[in-house]
Amino acid sequence: MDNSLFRKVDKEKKKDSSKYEVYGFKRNPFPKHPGVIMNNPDDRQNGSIYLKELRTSEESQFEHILVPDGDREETKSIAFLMDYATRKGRGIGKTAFLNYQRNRIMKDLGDELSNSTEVMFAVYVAPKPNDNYRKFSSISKLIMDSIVDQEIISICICRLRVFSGLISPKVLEKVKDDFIGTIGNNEWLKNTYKQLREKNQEFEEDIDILSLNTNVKRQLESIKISPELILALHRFGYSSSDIRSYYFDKKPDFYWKKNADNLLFNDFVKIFELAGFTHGIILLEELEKVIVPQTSIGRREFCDALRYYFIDGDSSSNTQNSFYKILLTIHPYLQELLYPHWNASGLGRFAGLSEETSKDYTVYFNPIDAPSARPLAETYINESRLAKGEEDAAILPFNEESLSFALKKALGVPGKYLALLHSAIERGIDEKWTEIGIKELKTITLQDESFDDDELGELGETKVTL
Amino acid sequence: MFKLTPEGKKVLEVYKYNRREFLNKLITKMHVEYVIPGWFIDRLWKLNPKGQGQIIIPTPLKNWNPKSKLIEDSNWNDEYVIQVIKSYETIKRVSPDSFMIDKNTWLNSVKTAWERLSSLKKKNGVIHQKFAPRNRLTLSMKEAAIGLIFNNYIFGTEKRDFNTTKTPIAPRTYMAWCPRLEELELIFYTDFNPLIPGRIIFPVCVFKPLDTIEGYEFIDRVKNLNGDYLALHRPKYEDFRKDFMVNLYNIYQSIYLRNKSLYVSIQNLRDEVCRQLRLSSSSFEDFLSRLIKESIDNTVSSLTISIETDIREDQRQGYQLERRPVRINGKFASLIAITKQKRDN
Repeated sequence: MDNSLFRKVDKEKKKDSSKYEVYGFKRNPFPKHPGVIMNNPDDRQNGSIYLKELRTSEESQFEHILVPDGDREETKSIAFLMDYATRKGRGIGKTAFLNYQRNRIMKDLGDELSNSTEVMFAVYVAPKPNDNYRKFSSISKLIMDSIVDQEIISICICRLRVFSGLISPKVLEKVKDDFIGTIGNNEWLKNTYKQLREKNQEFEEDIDILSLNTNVKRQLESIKISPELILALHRFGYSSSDIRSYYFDKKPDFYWKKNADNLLFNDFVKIFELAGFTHGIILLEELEKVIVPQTSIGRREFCDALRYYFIDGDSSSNTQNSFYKILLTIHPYLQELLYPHWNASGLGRFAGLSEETSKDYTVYFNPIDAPSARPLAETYINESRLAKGEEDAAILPFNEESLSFALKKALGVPGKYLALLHSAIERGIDEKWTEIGIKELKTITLQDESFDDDELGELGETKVTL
Repeated sequence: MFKLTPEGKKVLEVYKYNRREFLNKLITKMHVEYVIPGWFIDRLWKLNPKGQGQIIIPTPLKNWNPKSKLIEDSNWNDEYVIQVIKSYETIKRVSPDSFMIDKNTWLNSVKTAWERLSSLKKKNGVIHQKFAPRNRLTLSMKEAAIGLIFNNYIFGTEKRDFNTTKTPIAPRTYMAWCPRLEELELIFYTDFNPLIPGRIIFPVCVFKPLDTIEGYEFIDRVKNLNGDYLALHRPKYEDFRKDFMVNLYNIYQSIYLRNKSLYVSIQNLRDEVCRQLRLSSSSFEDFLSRLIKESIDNTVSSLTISIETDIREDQRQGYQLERRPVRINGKFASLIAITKQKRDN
């Protein structure tokens, strides 16, 4: 097939990895983009290379505020992640942090974190640019979309299949991490039964998918939720993309305007509780995309709705057991904007936004400091090293000084720091640097490096003397 | 009705073929009539001999933009004190010699000026409900600085320059003299240095013993008390070309690295080049025009210089519009990009 019109390219094969061998790497160890791209296959990019130690205080604060574990007294329904870095540039690691916490909860549905006292899920929600979130219902819709996309609803329906008692324990034994590809997959169920029968003469059971589905439907019907939703879930519930295309995307905007709040805070809560969940944690990022475009009245409504649906609205199932817990990512400017409305709607009593009380409700997120420069770089380097080095060799071609210089240059923002190291490696190979010290790093400028006027130092010397 | 004297007619003739000679005659005439041109330059050099006569008239920092206030609420308060100190400390850090007043005197003078401005009765019976604190503080700082720096005696001394109790220059006349002296190619000033909250003023001329020194033009009727003559820094392009080119490129690079866009404000570039090379704006325009011509001919210059007339958004805002433009070959330019050519051989 020499015709270039039929040609396909194999991107992986084309990449020239050998050039990184001069530094003993199989690839550039650092991410190219200074931000997390969720679900990207590249482990440098998707946030799965994660240095836990960098955020221990944030992490324990997070658990303290949001995750009940039996010992811990009351956790909060509304909490904040205060991002100090927004005015200094992006890339502080919020997304990586939230993503990591979500994965930590989702891997065993909060078993370990809560000392087996809770069954939890966590959902990561990021507002989309250009969408308008003037009404609270659009935020509810956004949260629902994320719940569906992150397969939490599908996990629920799979759990209902398990609870039906119609699946043999021998089959359930075979399920490892992947819930939806096994329990949720009719083919897998049939095949597994078949295999078991072939291996084991005594095993004579078979699976009746139809009665399994009917059972799930009965369970759903027992909690009195919208019949339309029951139908959609029982038919497409096992595949998040199917629920989306056949239910969520089919409904017009006004349907969501009218029903989104009710669906999320009543019907969804009932389904989750039916499936044995005790809490759901909503990690809402970039609240400024919601709040800043709103008018003053809109902000007031937002606060009122937050109170009604999360704290004490009497017609929502959520408030009965404070099922959802929401973590709002805010920064100081947003705090100023929200503060008057927050207190006017009485939210201040439930989640302190003001300085004095906020520490009980807030996870503070700070830029990282110099001692973390090395371990962070090392974590990344180790993932790409051909042969592991010891002590100082572990961070070659960098050295300790150049790493802390780079972190300073990136203003303590990890995303920028890693991007700087990425370009340092690329540049180093081009320019044949044997090691990358402060001198070399000085020649590299950050993509979005901006100087604060007061950090520029002195006026340049005059070159002519009159 | 104005009428030209025979001498005036002669000078007008000179303007037609030699602008600089005309300027020299104008400087002489202005000095004879007002004494300000020579005195101003002499004062600048005396204020900051180490910094080649460079001084700064402070304003509040750029990021201080408070809301307007009711006229009754115009008392001097801590917020203003903080702003005055912030601006003072920034200047002291960036260019310590350019502002020679000590902190307490400075604070008190600004306060006095503020109180005077706040107590003024409005002319024409117009009564305003509100005032803008930033404007008023800027005015107060200007008034205080002019009073202290351009007083009859040099700050910290007693000896008077003029036998009168009046100050030689008042804030209002100062406002007129800056552009005048600039146009006469005696000083350069800018309000837009990114590092400095305020106006930088420095002379592009100096008092020297009368002698033929390359790069200077003497005004033989303007003398200081030491018997030195006013010498304007006007290097010839041929002699100065290399220095100009090297510094132009380096300064462009530093601005470019800060902005990260290839085209940078030509006014910002002009301000810094003129400051470092002690050139007048018209020398800058002249040199740059010639350098551009060379770069087009591509014979001697290794630089590629592109000039644009698009006005960027940040150049369009309020006060920026009053900024002295850069004219290249008679056309106003706003943006410039300079790249070094890589020659094959």
